[in-house]
Amino acid sequence: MSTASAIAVAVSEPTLAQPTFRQVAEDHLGTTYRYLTHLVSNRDLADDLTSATFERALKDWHRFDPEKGTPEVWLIQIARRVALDHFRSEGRRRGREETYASREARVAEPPADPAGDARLREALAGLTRSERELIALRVVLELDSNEAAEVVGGSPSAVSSGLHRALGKLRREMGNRDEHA
Amino acid sequence: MSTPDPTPDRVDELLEGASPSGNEERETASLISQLQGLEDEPSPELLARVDEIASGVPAQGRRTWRERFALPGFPSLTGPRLALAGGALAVVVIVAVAIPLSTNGGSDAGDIASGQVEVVTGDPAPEANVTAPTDDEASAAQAAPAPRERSEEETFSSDGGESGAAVGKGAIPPGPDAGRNQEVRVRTAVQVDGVDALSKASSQAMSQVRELGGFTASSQFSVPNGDFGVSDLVFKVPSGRVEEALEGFSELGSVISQEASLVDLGAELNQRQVQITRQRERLVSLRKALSESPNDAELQRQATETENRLAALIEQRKKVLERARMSTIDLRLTTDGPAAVEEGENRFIAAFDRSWDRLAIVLEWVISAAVFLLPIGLLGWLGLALTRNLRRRGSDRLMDAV
Repeated sequence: MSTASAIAVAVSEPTLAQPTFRQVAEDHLGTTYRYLTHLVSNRDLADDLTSATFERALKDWHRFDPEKGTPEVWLIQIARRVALDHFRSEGRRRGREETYASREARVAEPPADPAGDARLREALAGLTRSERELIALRVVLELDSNEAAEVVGGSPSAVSSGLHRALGKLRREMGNRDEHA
Repeated sequence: MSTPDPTPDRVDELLEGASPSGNEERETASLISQLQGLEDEPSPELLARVDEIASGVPAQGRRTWRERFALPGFPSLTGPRLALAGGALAVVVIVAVAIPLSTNGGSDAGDIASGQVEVVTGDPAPEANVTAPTDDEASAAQAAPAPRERSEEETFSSDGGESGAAVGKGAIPPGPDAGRNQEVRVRTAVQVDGVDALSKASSQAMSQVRELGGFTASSQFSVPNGDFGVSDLVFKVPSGRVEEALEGFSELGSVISQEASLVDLGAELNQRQVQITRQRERLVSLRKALSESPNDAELQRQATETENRLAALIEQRKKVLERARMSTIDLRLTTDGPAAVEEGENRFIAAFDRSWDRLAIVLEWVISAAVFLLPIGLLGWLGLALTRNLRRRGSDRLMDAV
């Protein structure tokens, strides 16, 4: 066995502290996907970004240190960077192709949900990305405020107040839609 | 899919610090329940794609500097700790380098303590023919340059005597060349042990000089207080016996300094001889003229004047010869001098002193480097902070978009 393959096996083998990448991917694929779905409000795009997240995570797996944080937070941090990179490139692209971008914006709207929660999704789409992110982290993924603060790079109290505002805004959005209906 | 409404505690936990009204709390709880009930499961295509990705071998990537420099048993070696360890190591290296250098410097201290004799000699003088110079020789003598002093330094070390700072007893400068007319002047200082020994040493020096055929030209003895005294003596010693005199002086105590100068008087003697010869020739011709016209007052006056000038020149020549014959030795006997300490201890103290000097030099370098690098580092840090801030603001703007 060559040194490189021995190292690869050693990296892949589970230890008490360091899970394998496959294990992490299986355990946290849903979490990552849900986070990205809420962040981008577009399932197709969330699919692509989830794939990109796991590709980057595989590349950076050697940097993961279980003593510093949970795999879930580590993956969501990567997902956030992937999404931000996408937003940046999208912004540049839209800057170049304004007309096309306006069409893209319409395409990016959330599709009607067969399960009947389309109203909630539309209301969510009316929030900013950071508001959706906070809802995704704290409500959907049920991370605690410290973990959420670690992901967004702020303080736990800022996360709590931001979540309060986001939920209030979502409530109002839902109320507005009820009135229109 | 229906999810039970979260408890008020869960709502409070989510909105910690906020206190919604009862209605708001119910609505929020319902909203949370709806949000948690959203079915956002990855599609089978995504599952397959991620499964494919996860089946790959994780990249090893480049090892970070922390992994690169991690010591066995110190996996949590952090940047600040590494910097601290590096600083401590640098101090150890500086001290380790400074001490051997200082010890070598201690050897130099011994060299410094050794004396230097400056021997000043004149240019080799042309062979003087004082008895019968020819016209050509006279012209050559006239054209001969005035005695020009040339320094030749000769270092000689202590004979390892009583004091590390002393020149040593056997430190005798080269004497005058017996075949040439040279004026020798030697200045020497001898440290004696106490005021009582000073008086005795002065007497001994004078008697030694008398035995050598010399004499004491001047003497000055001074004891300002009971602990310190100095005796300045000027001796005239036959030039051929200077070395003997100095050897005798070195027996009086520890020679702490010695300086000798030799000035060649050959050219000066030649010049005087040429002038004397001319005056003699002139006198002969004047006397011859006077014998032919004895009443010529002007010739009489010129002859008398020439005779006087000749006598003065002869006297000057005698003085020059006397200067060559008798050398001058300035002897200072003193109770004061470099501390007569043990050589080893002296070297250690000198090494210790020099260590501080070297440390000051190192600190000077460090401060210079800091002064030079600090603005660059500060600018770099500011640039980095600015870039990070801009990037963060850009991210915030992106995240604030709907």
